[in-house]
Amino acid sequence: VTAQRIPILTATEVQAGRGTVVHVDGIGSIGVFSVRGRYYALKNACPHQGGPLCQGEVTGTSIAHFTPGEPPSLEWVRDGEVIRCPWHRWEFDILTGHALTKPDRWRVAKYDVALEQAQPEVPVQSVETYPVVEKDGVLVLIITR
Amino acid sequence: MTKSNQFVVDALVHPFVGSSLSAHLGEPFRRWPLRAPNSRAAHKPPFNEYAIEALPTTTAQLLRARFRESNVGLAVLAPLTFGLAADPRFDVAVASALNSWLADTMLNEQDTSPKLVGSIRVAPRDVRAAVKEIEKWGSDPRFVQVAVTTEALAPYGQENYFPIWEAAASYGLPVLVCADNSRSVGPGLSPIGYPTHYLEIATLSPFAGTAHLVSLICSGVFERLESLVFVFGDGAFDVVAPLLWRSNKDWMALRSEVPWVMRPPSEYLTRHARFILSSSDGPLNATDFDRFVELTHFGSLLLYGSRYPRWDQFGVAAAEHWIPNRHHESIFRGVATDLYSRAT
Repeated sequence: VTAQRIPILTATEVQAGRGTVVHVDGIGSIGVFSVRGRYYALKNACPHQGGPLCQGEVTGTSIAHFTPGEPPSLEWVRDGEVIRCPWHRWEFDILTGHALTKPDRWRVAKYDVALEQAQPEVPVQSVETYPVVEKDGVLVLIITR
Repeated sequence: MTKSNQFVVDALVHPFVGSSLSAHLGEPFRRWPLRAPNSRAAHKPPFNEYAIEALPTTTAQLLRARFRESNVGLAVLAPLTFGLAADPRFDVAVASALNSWLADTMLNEQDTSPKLVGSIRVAPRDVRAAVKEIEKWGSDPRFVQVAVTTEALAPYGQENYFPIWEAAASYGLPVLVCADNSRSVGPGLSPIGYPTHYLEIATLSPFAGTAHLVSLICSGVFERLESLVFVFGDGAFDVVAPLLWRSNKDWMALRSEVPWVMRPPSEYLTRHARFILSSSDGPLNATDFDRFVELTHFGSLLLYGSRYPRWDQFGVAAAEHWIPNRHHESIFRGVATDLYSRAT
């Protein structure tokens, strides 16, 4: 098993509160997310009908609490950990790629990412069209084949 | 006679109370003029709503004679009320009077063959009165379910109704939702107001019960009351199936609005919903009916009820002819004996 490490973005390029979409040669379009200081990457294609999932709204979700003698109550949870596809509004867990409704049935491909020290000699494939020399670190997509 | 010679459960029969209800109504309602069911409906069929031989349903002997002819061994009685009166106290009084009438007459005889069991009528607009009525009869083994009208001013999943369902569940009783086809007040009779013709009413009528079912699911009633079963007396399983396919799809996007709906909406049916099979339901021919039941997975949710003496009653012989053999055991006996285990 060999791990391929593909630099994709600099840490400062990852936008807060939304997915940062980048094209990776040999992989395709992916979305990179920063959630409480950790980085996650999902395939930018909804498993439902192929919509650009990672360009959807980063949000939270709700859970119900059942208390005898009272109507069920709604609690807003996991704010910033959920991506909602812009096409049909399905919710996916950014941390795992699983759909919130039927996690065993629907999931989007998830990639491992790691923040590594920038190596000036490593060309960074960026959303920009010019190379970036990154002082704060480079996000590396780890593909295990 | 049934092909198998096994008894049939007729899960929905409407005995006629006639003028004897007055004796069971309290003041001042005993002084109010009583109307026949359906007399205040905005729409009527262009003929008598009830079978000509309906009047004999005022006595248990005549009902039993009819049941013996068609091998009915157990019949579940649900007298019709008068729909929604302007004054909900009248509905409460009628429900209560029907229960004591049923207990004193049809359910109070030496002859127990075929067996007759009853429904506890309640008027859901007065929740406290409905709960009291369930508490009054809930332990009486002659009553096997709670019954409410399909006609309502708000769908039954809404929170104010919840104590009624909770009371039914606490006695292990299913809840029958069944149209009275009678009312003084209420919303328009179709999703867009008042239709012109009775055929329109007849065609669109399945949506009313379906609206209650969708409301119950989307409000989480079945997550809160895990043993509660609703029986839909107006049929319409054939309409419910594709509507819940739609609901399942939309739930994928809308789950966060209703997090108490923990599963795709249609998955609540197996445990929580049963449908009286109406003669209006499903494809016309038996082969297509069989395919449709298979497609919808509703085979285990259907039970036979004649709805006698309505004009569109479903006789045992006609039902046996139409329903494919492989469903006979389940539809004519199995589902009902599980549901009304109290009576068997």
